Amino acid sequence: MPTIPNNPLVLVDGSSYLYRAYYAPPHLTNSKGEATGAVYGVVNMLRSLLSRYSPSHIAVVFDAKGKTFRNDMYDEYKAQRPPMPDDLRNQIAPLHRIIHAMGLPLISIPGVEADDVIGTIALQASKEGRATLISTGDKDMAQLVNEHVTLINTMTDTIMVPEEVKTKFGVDSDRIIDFLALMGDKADNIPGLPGVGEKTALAMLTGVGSVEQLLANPQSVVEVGFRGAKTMPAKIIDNADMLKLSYELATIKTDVELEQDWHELNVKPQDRDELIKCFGEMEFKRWLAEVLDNKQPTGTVSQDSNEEITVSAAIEAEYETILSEEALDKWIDELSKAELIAVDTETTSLNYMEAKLVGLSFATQAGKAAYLPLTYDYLDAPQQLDKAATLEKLRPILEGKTPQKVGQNLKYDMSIFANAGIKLGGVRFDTMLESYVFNSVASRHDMDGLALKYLGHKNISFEDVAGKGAKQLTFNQIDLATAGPYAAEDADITLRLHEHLWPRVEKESALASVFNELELPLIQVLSDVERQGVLIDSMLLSQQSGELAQKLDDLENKAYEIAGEKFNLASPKQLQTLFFEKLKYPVKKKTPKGAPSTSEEVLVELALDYPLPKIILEHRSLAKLKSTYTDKLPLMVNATTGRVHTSYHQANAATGRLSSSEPNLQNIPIRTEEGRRIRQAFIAPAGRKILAADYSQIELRITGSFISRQWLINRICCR
Amino acid sequence: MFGVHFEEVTTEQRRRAKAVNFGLIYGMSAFGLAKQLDIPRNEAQTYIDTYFARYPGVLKYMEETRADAAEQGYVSTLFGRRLYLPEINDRNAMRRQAAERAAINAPMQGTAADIIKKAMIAIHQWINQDTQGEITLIMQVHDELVFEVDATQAEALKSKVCDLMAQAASLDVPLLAEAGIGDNWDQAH
Repeated sequence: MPTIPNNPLVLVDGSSYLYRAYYAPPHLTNSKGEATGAVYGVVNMLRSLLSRYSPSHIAVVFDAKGKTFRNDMYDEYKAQRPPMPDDLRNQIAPLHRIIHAMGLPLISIPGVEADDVIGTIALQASKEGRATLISTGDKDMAQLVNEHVTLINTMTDTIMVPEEVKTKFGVDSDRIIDFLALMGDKADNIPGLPGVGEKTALAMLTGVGSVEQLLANPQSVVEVGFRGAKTMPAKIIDNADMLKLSYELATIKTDVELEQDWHELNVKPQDRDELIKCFGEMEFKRWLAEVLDNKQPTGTVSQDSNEEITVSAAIEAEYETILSEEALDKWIDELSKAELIAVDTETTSLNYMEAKLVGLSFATQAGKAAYLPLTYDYLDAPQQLDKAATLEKLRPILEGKTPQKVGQNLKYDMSIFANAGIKLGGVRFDTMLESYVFNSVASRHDMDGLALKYLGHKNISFEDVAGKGAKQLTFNQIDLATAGPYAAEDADITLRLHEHLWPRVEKESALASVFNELELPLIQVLSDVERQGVLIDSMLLSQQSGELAQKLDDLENKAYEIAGEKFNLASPKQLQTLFFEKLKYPVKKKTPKGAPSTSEEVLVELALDYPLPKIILEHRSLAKLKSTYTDKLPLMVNATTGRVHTSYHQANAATGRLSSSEPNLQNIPIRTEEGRRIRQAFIAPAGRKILAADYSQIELRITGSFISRQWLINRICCR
Repeated sequence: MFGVHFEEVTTEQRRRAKAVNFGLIYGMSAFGLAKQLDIPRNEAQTYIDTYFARYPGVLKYMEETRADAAEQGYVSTLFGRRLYLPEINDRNAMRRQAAERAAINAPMQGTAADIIKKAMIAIHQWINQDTQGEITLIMQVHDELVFEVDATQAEALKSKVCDLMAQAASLDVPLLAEAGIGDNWDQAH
């Protein structure tokens, strides 16, 4: 199959796919009985395009409603087509919403067809030498193929470059219009020349050249000598107008007036909330779960088009699994000679306090990496080196200032080493933080995402080797033949990512200083804070849980009383019926589907005038506190340390702020009584006190410094 | 901004002034302000106009920040951290306006983040070099640092921590950190 160039501009013929997806099985419906199959088909196709080609620029093009210039040219154009079925028409709006939410530019221009828009953009781009991939099921588009423009039909998985056009149709792409004009097209109701089919059309074009030449010199066709050639000149002369019209109709316009240049068709970040809504309504459960899990869409987006990448699973690499003393010694020698090494740990758990080291991987240069397994205990696992003795041998390398270390989220690995009694030294780079400092919003900063975005490499995923869900194996149960390359690849990819990212950070002195002076030294600080943990009063929390349960109960009873019936306070659907049908509250906002909304925002507004929404709001916030803090905090206490060990995330918030999870400390309410009570459960051990220090009005002070105007300074200092 | 004398300012006026101050700097519209203060939209618009007329520096700062963002595609914190705003030139007005609000807000949020990170690093270094276990950093939340300290030395440690936090960065408007001590986080908060 021909290859697709890197990061092509992708133009999708949305209308052609919409029809094809509608008529192709499975004919999906959601639980309300609404057809969703066409939406599913098109979105599925888009997702696969994104994941295969990671385009930075794309447009999904649809026919606009109404007649086009071709209808003005020829009344009969597409006149035989039945009107669009209602259950297909109804899928257009939700499809458009999803496409918008996926961050994909959508174009639909009245008066022309999707083909014409695609033709125009493709011509623009190919003039600039930009590789363009048109995704369509429509053979007419073959006329657009040239050295820069390729067609793909994702339904049949066929790709068409100039040679393929010639093979398939027998003529070059610049004669496709002639070909269609001669033989006509039933689907579009293009008349063509009477009695001329594929063979005759082909013979005439091969023999004479083009429709233009045929019209100029009809007699020339006789010499071609196909069957019926003798009567052909008369036919051409009699039907000259029809032939010219057919030629016009079959010609895809390439000069449509567009508002955007192709450069502006960049893929935007997806609108997660909107996608959740849309997939929810369509009941596309797998995709919904994916968005909720906050996974990247299958196609990771590369935003800067100048950095063209190819996606492939194969990279040049030489991975070794270390099982003997000799191999270990050779690697220790390699490592101690290297200036910088990539280090990664494989463990039994994501919990940094509980995870045990099962193996280590190293890379010394791109493509040269090794995995050192230590505690594999599955049946017939190969004999491995002794863990304690091996770590002792590695200690000088791991703890030393040299070689310098690079890792992906080294804070985690530092804890794993600490659990094994090793204090990782020489921490100099971290690819997660390099990516974060380079561009905090371009991607998530996990290794798989970074590899795909910056290296065009699809990593072996953990699920590929360990399986999913309840049956997921821990890493030391996985066959070393599989685990070895997976683990070694992590170190290799880390080193490659560093080699890609660091020069980009270093080149901008401001970014280099943010990395060197803030993010890098902070790794150790945060690791210490995490491992230190905090003492909590579990008794107090469980008492609070009891009280909260009582309060929730009271609120529920109060709510039932006002409503005059029992209902589920947590069900938006029941609230909807109760509020807007039974109690006739005014509708403040509607959901995108047109139902009256019971969102937080709406409840707050309604609470000004009615008691019930206020009760429900209170119920919601207390229930949340109970489930996330008072019930859960005691369960988070580490059995060994007796303390709670939060995870801090250094590369999560776009603005540079830190966030935390398990527990999320930022979400404990600041002003409410319940928030205060939860903070009372964070205590000091005997002989010690809690000291809490807070910046006062820091935001105003910073803004004041930015504006640097005397008035604002006075306002704060002289109060 | 309400055209009254300093002595005549009411609590309600002060509250409104604060909302205007914060709201406008963070890009709130007349509509948003009207909603927050529960006043008619034209009244909110009057506040806004008065505010910007009185403090032209604020408006100038905001306009320059937005223009820079549109030109560069990103905004920066005081320490050089960048936040890219992919939608700052978006043709969709809603998205563009959201990005414009972020252009004003992000340098401030990001600078606050940088400052507390600097403070944590300085305090960590001090703890490691100059103390013997009488103080440990146990939490970071928003603009707050939480420590466990030896009960007998708490007061001295408190003033040292506040000093280090205030010195974390030197701004035109000096930083101020305040601290409390208690048996639990709430008491200390």
